[in-house]
Amino acid sequence: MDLSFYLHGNSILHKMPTWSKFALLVAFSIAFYAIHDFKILITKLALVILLVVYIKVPLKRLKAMFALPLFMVLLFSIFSFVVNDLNAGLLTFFRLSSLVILAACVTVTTKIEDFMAFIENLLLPLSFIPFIKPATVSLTLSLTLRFIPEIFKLGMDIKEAQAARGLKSNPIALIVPLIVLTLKRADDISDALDARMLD
Amino acid sequence: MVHLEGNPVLEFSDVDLVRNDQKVLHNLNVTTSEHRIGVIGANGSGKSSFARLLNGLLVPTNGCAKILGHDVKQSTKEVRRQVGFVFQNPDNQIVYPVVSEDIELGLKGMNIPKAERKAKVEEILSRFNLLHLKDRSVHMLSGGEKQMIALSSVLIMQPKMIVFDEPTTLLDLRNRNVVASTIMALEQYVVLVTHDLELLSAFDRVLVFDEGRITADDSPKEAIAWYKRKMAS
Amino acid sequence: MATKDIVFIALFAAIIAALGFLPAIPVAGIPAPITAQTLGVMLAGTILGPKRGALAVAVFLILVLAGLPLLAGGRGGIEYFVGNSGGFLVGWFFGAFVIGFIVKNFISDTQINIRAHFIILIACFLGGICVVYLPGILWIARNTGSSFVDVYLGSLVFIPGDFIKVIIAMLVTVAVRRIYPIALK
Repeated sequence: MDLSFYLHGNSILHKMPTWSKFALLVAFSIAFYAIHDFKILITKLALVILLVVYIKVPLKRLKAMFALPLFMVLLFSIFSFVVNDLNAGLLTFFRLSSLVILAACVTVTTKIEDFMAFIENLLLPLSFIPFIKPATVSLTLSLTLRFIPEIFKLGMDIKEAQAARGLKSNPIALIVPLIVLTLKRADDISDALDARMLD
Repeated sequence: MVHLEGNPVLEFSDVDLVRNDQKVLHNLNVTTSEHRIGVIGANGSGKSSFARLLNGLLVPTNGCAKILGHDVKQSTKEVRRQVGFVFQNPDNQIVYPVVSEDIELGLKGMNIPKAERKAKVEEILSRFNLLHLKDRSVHMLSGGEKQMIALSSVLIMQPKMIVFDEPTTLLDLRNRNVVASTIMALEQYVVLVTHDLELLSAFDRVLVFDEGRITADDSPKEAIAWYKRKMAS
Repeated sequence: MATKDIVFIALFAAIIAALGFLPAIPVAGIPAPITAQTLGVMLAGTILGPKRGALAVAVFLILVLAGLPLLAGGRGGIEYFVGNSGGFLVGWFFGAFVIGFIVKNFISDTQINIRAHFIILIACFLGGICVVYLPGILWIARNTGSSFVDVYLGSLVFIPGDFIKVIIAMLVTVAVRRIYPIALK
């Protein structure tokens, strides 16, 4: 199971610190709602498309990266056109499509571990809340990543065992044992964590 | 081996343990100072609970358990620092997605600079010829590799004693042999809970548990023979 | 928070992710199969309780935001938060909390009678549909410059699938609580 969209590269976007990419994205999205001038909106869309070319997204990745988000944007633009007017529909399309493309560019140029470190820093001011201590947050995120493939495999095993008994695919018969077996494991995992953590 | 100036390694006096309203250990009295202790017994005989008392995952309901001279109840932290624990299923023990991150986990709470932590991780992996697994995803490892990673993550903390709870149960014969010879080569004190009786042939002493009591305490040869007779009857 | 709570939160976040990968639920009469992921969100609330349930969803969402492809169908990244699905994703967090809050406060840990079935059903409906759709609809209304009512009417298409999920969530919750009850937090 490949769990990353990261695209190796050397562009400015790759080198920018994670927080600055986020600041850029937030600034961009606020600016969008203040702008009603189509000339500026079209220029912005052209700029983010140039950005996609600049960070060298391979052609075969384009579809996976943009097909669904842009399809949704299109759908909602049509919706806006139908319930409002053409102007609103076009505004929706230009605003959202450039925003979504820019966000996707940030996603593929930021390593997951960099992003996680960024989130942990972002939560630092909240660390007076017991659960939001940086060490706890990082442990929880890692634990989740560690167990996603395990739980997925458990789900496939349960399906297989049920198919072997001639049972039809049934979401309840799959999800109940999946959750019960996982909860039971929590005892052993938390014992092991307690045995290993010294603080 | 660590010498304890004549102090016993384990010292249990009148230890009772109640779990979920059920008494699982009855009035245990045992003192050991040997290097390697084996623990055997039927399922549900209390041997896993006994193992969990040794590093403070459980504490006695009544009585006193001293490990390496420290009372489990009063100095749980110190006991945990000195006693490592290897579980039956390494899948439940390995909590980070990448091998090196997981082995580093215990060191993180100890104010050791990052570079030094990395060096220690590489050192421990090289010791078992596992350096090539450093950046692997845990999910992709074999059962035997996972158990060796679990052991490495315990050894990196430099414990004085290591408790193993059925470490070979889930392994194939080849991996079982690797883990077995690794255990025999450890300089730390070892307490090994197992159903794999052959593992214990070179141990110093074996305790047999039955219904929450120690029913035999002898050399491996004698204790295992007694246990086999009991299981056959 | 005890180690066990952290483990529950992490494992449930992983369950929500795994449900997005497992084959979707085919439903007679509805052309598109519904994904089990939002079901996972409801179950986080009913099985773990308000705080841990909402935190499990938060952990899942942070990983999606970080660019992990954990949304149903292997999608993820910031674009799903700034796009039209953003409001619904945020709604998941509050939804899990509300579901957990209702279940925790209105049914006892031991008794699973008809009343408990009914309360779980109501909780999943209020939290899993009303609370999730509210920010979702507001978000889209703002993005598309449309009125709340128009977007609300447009989103009614998805309600039948969600009703089925509410019922499945109730049945799964009752079964899990019978086999392996844990105290809600």
